[in-house]
Amino acid sequence: MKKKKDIKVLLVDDEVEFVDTLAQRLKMRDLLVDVVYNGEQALSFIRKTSPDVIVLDLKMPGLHGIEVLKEIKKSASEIQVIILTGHGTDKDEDEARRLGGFDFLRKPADIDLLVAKIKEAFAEKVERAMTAIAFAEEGALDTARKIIKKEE
Amino acid sequence: MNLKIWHKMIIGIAIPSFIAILGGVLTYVYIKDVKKRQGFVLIADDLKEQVLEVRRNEKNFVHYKNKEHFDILNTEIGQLEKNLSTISEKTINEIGEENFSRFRKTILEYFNLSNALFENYQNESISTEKVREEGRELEAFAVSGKHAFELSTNFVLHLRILEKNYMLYRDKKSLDALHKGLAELKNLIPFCNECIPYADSLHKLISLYEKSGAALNELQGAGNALEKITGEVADRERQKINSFLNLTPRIVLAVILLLCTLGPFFVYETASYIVAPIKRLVDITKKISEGDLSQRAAIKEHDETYSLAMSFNTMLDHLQLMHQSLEKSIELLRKKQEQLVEAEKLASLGKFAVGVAHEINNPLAIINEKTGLIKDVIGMSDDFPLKNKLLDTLVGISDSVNRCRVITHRLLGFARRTDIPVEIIDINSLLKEVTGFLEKDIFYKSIKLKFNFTDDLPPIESDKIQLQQVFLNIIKNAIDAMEDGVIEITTGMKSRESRDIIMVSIRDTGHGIPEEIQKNIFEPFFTTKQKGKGTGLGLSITYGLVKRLGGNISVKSRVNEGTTFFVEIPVKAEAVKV
Repeated sequence: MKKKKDIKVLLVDDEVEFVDTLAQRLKMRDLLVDVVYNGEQALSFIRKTSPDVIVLDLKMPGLHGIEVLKEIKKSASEIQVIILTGHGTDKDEDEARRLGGFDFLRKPADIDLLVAKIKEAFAEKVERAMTAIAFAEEGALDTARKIIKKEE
Repeated sequence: MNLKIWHKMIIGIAIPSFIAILGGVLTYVYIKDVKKRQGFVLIADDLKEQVLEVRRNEKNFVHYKNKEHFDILNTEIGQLEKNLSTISEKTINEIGEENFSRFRKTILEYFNLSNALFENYQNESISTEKVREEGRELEAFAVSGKHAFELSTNFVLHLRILEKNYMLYRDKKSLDALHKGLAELKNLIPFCNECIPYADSLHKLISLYEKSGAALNELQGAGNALEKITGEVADRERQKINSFLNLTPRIVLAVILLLCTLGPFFVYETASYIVAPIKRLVDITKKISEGDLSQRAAIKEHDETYSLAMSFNTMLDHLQLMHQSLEKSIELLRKKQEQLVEAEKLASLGKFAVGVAHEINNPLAIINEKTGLIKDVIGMSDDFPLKNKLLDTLVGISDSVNRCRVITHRLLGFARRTDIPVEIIDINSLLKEVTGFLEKDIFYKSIKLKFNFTDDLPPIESDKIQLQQVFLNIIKNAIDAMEDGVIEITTGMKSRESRDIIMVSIRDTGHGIPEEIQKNIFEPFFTTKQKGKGTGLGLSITYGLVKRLGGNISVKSRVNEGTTFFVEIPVKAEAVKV
């Protein structure tokens, strides 16, 4: 398991005061935090680097959080997304979960709860990656066996 | 009386008409009679005229005493008889048979008398000649002086003058004078034979004259009788005419008066008789137009208004029924509307609350993070004076933020999903489960829990979590409302007829809800609890949940007696957008 410091988190929120403060606090809790202030920035950010977990607001100028989530799940499905919003209705929550969001939190959220969720999300990401590797290794072994068999 | 209107009308017109016709006929009959009587009068007058003509000729005859005038008289009498015979039998009968027979008899008598008179007159003239002849002889004898006694010439001349006077005047005076002279002559007779023929002829003449006078009297009596009979008939008929003429205007006047008084009376009576049922209908329509639909037309007559009143009443029956059902519908509609308004009010309040919650969440989040950051920084820094005090203050801020968060997060419960995750639920066991969650509170408050469950209830297809939430809220409220009391939970079907809706009632023996605030209890932020103890959202969220599940919630409460909540849940939940 990676250390906390290794978990790369991207915060996406248009509320600058909020997101900057939150970023500081998360950094104090040994997370690698980047901040962008809208959906478009978030998408261009993940094209350059790949964060482990994205904490995403829903109601933002420009792209709506749900659109951003869809885009992320399309292009980089391994990134886990936690929705953190002040406008979340039950309907939004359902929608977010259906689109593959990891969890749905409402502002104001307790910092410890958020950190826990981020860790869970990261664990989820790691597990999925491991499974994929395991499958891949299994596949490689199979290929090797077939080759050996052929040579025999 | 069961008379048709046109019968009534005919009676109303017929009676005055009958009076008028009766008067007219009477008048006609009387006038006709008068005309007839006038004819009779003419006949009688004609006859009288002829009688008078006869009498005139009678006078001529008496004056001249000759055959010529006697013949004229006879001709006139014949003419009279002839005219009499032209009068018809009918007329005679009508005027009076006995008048005519008397008249005829009298004419015959008159005729005979005139004949007798004529005969007498003829004897008279012979007798007169005789007297004159004897007188002249006696005169000559007296003048000769051949007599032996005293027979003066003067005496004879005196006698002759008396004789002439009597012949001329034929009255009593001259007759008396003649008798006196004759008495003197009688004294001479024993001495004078020559005197006897003259005296005898004179005596004969006197008797003849007297006989004529009597005959004339009789004749005149008959003539008078003739005049009298005709006069009587004419007078009688005139009298009759007069009485008819007097009566006719009276009859006409009486008929006019009758028509003027009875006519309007009859017309009025008939008209009001005809109009009475219609008037009653009009009165009823007035009452109906004032809103009294219980009015009905009284059916008394069996005329044309009978069927009118019957169909009018039938129409009213329908109208009243329609009116009643309309009133019921309106009442129902009003209730529905009230419910709708209430629901709408709650929904818009909910939307408002959600909007407020959303807007508050962001600044709240900033406060939360900033406070957290300060807490983090101070927590990591070395001890300094008032560090703990500062940290306590920050915890206070965090707590307040938490309280706000609880409120806003509950408010967001209003933002509803449109679909319901459906599970098969047994309501009785769900209620047991819910009370299980609250076991501790119930125990500590020493509240008695009574279940009043109906066993064979149909399973509900609904959202279990939400249903749990509903009953949790209600039962928790019940617990909060009392110290050591009873909570009674009853389940059953809403109605015996249908098995579509389950009814759950939760009764507590708590302090109750005053009537004036019962309608407010489902509104968000309405609470009677102490500040900080309740958010005022519990029942409004409960209300929203029940509505969303297609159910209904209502409350009955009395202060100091307790409160009962009635929750209706459809067996098959349909997503309802409130």
